[in-house]
Amino acid sequence: MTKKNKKIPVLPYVLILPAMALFFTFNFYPFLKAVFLSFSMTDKSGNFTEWVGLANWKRVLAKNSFWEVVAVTLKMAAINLLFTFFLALYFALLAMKKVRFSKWYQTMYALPMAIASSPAAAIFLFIFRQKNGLLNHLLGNAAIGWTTKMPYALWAVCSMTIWMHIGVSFVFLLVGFRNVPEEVLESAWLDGAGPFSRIRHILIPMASPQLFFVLFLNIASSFRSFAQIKLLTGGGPANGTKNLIYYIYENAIINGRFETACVQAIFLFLMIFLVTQLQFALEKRTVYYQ
Amino acid sequence: MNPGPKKRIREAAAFGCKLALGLLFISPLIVGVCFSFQNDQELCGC
Repeated sequence: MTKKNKKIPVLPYVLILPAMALFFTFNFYPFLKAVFLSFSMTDKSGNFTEWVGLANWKRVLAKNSFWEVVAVTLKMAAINLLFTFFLALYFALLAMKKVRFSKWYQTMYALPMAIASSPAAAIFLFIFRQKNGLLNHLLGNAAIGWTTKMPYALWAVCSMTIWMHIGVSFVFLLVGFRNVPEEVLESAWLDGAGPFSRIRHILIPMASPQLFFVLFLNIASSFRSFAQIKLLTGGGPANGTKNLIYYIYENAIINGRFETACVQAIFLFLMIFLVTQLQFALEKRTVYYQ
Repeated sequence: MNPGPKKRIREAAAFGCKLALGLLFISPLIVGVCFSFQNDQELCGC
């Protein structure tokens, strides 16, 4: 076929157009607008009023309260990430072997992922509240303020986030572990490899793409906890559970400071972007694709 | 005792432990379901 006769196929572009239009409208456009608004002043409704350059960035980054919120965000993200990942890993290893009725506990381990954050927060509020709370009742009518005192409030919020996120990670890890051929594990067992050696030298390397994906998923989600903070603690006590997402919401929706919220949103984006880039850099060394 | 029943008991115990862990894990959900049968007055204990 000559170069002249070569036709550019139009149909594929037409087919992806609706998806691209939605993606541009709800992902790219808000992102680009947030970048633009972070360099300008806005009115209470978030409309552009004046171009101010880097003034917003200087003001936000000079505030101590902003860095305190960043520290809380990192602390919460680290707790959520570690506990979610290792508990999901533990559950997946427990449920790996298919036996009769194993679907019962598999379903139990994955069930919390089907619960929306608002009803889950309502349940955890019943459990954690100071007066007539279930946890205080179980502790012999103790009067611990699980959502009103530090460090309990931080752990209360994190426990709910971890509980909600384990299910998804568990499902992906279980699939990864079950894809490891039985013969490989059996031959390792015949060679004298114990359970820990089999996990460390066979299961984890062979399921590394799933492990990598679960880590990637959890990094992004652990930075973005919002509903549990809003419903359980409202960012308190003394901003002890206020993360960047909640701070952005407070600035934009409650205080009407959209330009400040945009700066913080871009900062959060850059933070997650850096962590995921670091993770992708490590991917080449730690993940084995068969 | 021959190895057959011993193995079966071990497997049943492992299954029971896994099930108990699963029940513990979804206990907030069970609590939520139990609370849904109570009215506001009973919930606040007034």
